[in-house]
Amino acid sequence: MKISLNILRKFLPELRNPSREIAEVLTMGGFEVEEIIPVKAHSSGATGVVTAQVTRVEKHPQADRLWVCEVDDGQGTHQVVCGAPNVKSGMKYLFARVGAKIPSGGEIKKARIRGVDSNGMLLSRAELGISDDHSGIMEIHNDTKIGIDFNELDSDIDVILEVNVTPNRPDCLSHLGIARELSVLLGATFVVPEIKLKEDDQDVSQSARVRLLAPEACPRYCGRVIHGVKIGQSPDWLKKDLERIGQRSINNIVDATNYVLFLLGQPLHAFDFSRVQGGEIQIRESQAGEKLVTIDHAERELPPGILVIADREKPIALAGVMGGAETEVKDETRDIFLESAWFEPRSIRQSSKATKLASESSLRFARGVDPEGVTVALDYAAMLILQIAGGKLARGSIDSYPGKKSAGKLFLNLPEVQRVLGVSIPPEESLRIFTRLGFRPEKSGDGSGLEITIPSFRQDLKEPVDLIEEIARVYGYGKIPPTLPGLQADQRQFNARERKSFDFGKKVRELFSGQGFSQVITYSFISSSENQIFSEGEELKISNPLSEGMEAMRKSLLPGLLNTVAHNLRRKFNDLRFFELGRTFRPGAGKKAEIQETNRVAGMAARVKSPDGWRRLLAQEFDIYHLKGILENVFVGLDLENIDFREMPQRGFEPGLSGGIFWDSRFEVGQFGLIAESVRTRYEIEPAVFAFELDLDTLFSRGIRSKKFSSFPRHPGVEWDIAFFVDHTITYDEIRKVILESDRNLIKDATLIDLYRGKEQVEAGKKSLAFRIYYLSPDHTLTDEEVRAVHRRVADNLRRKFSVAIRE
Amino acid sequence: MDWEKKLGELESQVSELLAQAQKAEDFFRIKQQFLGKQGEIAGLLRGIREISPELRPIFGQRINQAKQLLEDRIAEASRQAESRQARGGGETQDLTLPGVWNPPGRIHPISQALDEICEILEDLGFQIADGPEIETDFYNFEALNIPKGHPAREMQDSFYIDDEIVLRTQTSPVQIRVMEKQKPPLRIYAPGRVYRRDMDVSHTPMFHQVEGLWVDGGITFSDLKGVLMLFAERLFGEGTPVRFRPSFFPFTEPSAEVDIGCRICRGEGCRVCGNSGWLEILGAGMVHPGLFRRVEYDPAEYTGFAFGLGVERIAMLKFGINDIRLFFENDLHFLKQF
Repeated sequence: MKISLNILRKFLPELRNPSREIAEVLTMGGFEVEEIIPVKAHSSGATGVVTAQVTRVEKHPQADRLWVCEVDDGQGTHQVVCGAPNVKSGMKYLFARVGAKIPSGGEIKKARIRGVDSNGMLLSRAELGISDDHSGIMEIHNDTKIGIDFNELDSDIDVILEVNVTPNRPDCLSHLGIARELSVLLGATFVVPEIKLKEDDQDVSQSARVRLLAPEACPRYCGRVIHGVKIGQSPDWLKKDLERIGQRSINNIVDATNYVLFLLGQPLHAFDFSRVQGGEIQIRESQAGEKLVTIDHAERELPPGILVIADREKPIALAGVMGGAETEVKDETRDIFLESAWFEPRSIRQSSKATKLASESSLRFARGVDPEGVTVALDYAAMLILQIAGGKLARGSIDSYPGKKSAGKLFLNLPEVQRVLGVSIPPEESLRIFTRLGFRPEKSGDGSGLEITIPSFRQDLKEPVDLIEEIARVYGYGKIPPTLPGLQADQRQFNARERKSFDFGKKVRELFSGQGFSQVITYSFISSSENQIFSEGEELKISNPLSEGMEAMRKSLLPGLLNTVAHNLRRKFNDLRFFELGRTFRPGAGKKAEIQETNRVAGMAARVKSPDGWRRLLAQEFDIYHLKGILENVFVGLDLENIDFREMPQRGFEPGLSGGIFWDSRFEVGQFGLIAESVRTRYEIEPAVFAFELDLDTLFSRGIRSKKFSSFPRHPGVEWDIAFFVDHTITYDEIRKVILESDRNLIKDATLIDLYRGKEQVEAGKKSLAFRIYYLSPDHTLTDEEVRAVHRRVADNLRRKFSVAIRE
Repeated sequence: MDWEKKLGELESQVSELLAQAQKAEDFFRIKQQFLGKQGEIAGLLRGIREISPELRPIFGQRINQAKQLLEDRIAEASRQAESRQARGGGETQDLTLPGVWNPPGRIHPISQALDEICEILEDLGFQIADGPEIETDFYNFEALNIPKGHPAREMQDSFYIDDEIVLRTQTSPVQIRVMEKQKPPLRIYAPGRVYRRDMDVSHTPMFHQVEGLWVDGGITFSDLKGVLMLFAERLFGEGTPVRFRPSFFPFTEPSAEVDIGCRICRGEGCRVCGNSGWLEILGAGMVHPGLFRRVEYDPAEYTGFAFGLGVERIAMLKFGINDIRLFFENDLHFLKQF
């Protein structure tokens, strides 16, 4: 919220502290000042323009609309002829001396206007180049010194503070509230501006009637009537003040109500009273089918049951949110009904939500305004309107207040203060803080506590601990000494499983990055159609997604990775290896079942072309065996055993080049393979992309092997090779199994060392394989004879099982 | 005799000889010929008597320089020849060639920042805790003193699955889940993804938070300050200025926002810190008694403090990143910098 230091001075007449200090004090008091905006020196190029006071105004003898003024510019008095309607004796303006240069029209010269000498000129905003307003001369604050050069004056005109008011402090959404806080924090004198009202003889009840039909939603409704106002532009000071706090000037009546809102925090509304049918104001709930054209000129169908202001016939305003166009104050308006009310916050939030409308008024009502401040604001606004728009104020005001509550009281047990804050604050200090805050504290009989009457504007205070915060805040967080509680570890409730699971994820991360994969983080929500690429079944949908394409909670991490690959391809990277660690989401099966969140890791590798490298280490085309090798590598690093890869169709992958990953042959823990061409096309990815996804939760909870030592032979083993032709449908796994099972005792390992499928030397439908077999006996060094015997058995088995042709 | 000219000749003579030299004896011979007792340099020095006395110091200096130069050159050439010999004299190896390696992938900067935060908290005795990312309205709001219609719900526009199920907007619900299961004393932290309906230079609809909670008999606001000051100094360096200012969170009372002195301007005021000289890093406060009542802890017996911080914010400050959306664009130009 924008706070003007000038306006604050209405409440804090002695406020002279530098703006930086004020900002600091507010920030450390809980009202963060986000920006300090000095109302800047206007580099208009004007020279010779100074502040000056008009000391006498007389009618021009020869012209009706001209005035002859005496102007004091600090150096002397000058006679000036002026045509502005707002020139008044005693007021201060900006004065261009003879010889001055002004942005709008060159140099000011001595002149003779209809027979009267004029030595200088009083300037309008337009002439100063500030705005296009030339309806009158620019008034400046009366406490400004005279004789100050316009360009120097500017930086002192005002300072605006952008203050962040937390939602618990609606009382500070106004200059009044901020001033009250500042007075406490700075110890400055706080004054309430005086309100003087001249009332007419005619009583308000003679023209207006209020029927409060929804006392729950509107515990208090007040109003005044002013007859015969003259609608027009606001005076300069008002326009300027509104402009500085970010508000647009509309007309004098609307500006007055707006000004009071920002001044006192109470939203007001002025109705064109002649348009209020029967002079009757009803506060009631809307009925089905009712409509209202709001002041933004949109016709709105009103949802039934929201709070409206109505006349005898129809709704004329959305209570607390926005006025209606028909009763809006217009140029021809003469009589106004001025409303000031206290609406129940919940009711205004409902209206705001139902109509999707929010305003400065609804914001304040929704958070809670001061129920006792309603009439003060009403009277202040009435005074201001009489001042700037004239008219006659009907005697008395309407005050319908069925919801009056007695002041709240809280008891604060003083030792609690130290128990929570850790610092001993003398009771007198607490007492002083509460008194300054406008609370009425009374010491309890035994002196151990304070009974505190909470003022009506502090509805946020509900519990004793809220009072402790008030003490801490005003006392100063900075003055509370830092201490360290005993840092002895308390391991009794050690969350071992969570700790290990977290570390497992970290290890996965290190292993994949070691394999050249970079970690990415993508959004957990994707489009519904992407969500179907890799898995069927139900998904969780966000009812209010941020945008299209972000409506479903991902069931797989792969679409996010595809987007990452596509993005980086467009950036012309050609070695793309990524992984992500994160959760996937599925609705639970059955009605009451919990939503399933699964920790997963997925990765993708795409290579556009071989990277240039002098040794071409990476020159090999990335293929499915590279992917499998990387996964196997990671499994070893994670101490995962009993993992096998099985060819089987996977949704979104190329059939034949993809499969499932199983633990203990039973639990499917993941998938891997080549992404289907149709999927690549969808993401505009040209090169082949290999991908995998693993369920970390299952792997973590089941797969980790327990390490156990077993003794090993101390003598050497031997390696013998065997090569053969075999039908190409026979798999490596099958062959290796037969080799290993030929002698479980002596054969320790069999490694594939060659695979050839070319046309030369190999007949069609066959492949040539070579294995290196590692022979080792548990108790002695093997002789050639022993090995030859087993090796022959291997060859026999292979011939028998797969009809291989051994190559000699 | 023109000794300047003579010196020049000696230097080029040495260069020629060195270019042909192969074996250690060759170098030894060259050294003898020029730098030995009967060598050329010594010979030149003997001629000093013929030089006028006033020029003698200059002459001596020059000779010594030349001597040093020749010594260095011979030594260098001999060393090179030796290493050539050691490699078998054949093809030379250029060890400046790039190593053959498989470049490792990078760890996402968010993970890196998160690791650092977690490590500090572990050192302070906090234990990790976890909770779901999709939460019920109860855990995300109600239990944290944010009933339906509470103005604080405006602060965090949320994503809903349905009326009762929400993507968690903060890691704070983990506080409730842990307190429901465990009795004090407890000291936990909970890292994870959170979601809010917002997107601009400083907001993304998904980001990461770390929540901390310490509950025991006798925990005070002073303790909150002490622990978080220690945390901030570990994270941002010793001597980092830290300040606590009043703020509002529905689930803590009193509440505070914690700022560190701006790292860019050192407190002078700059664009990054909005001229304030301070940068907000986390929110904290004393656990509201309402939460304790909800999990059946006795507020008269226990007090505690909680804090929450945005990991992206910390990473942005630490790495000087100015647009939060970069974290989720996953551009390799970006990822490779960390």
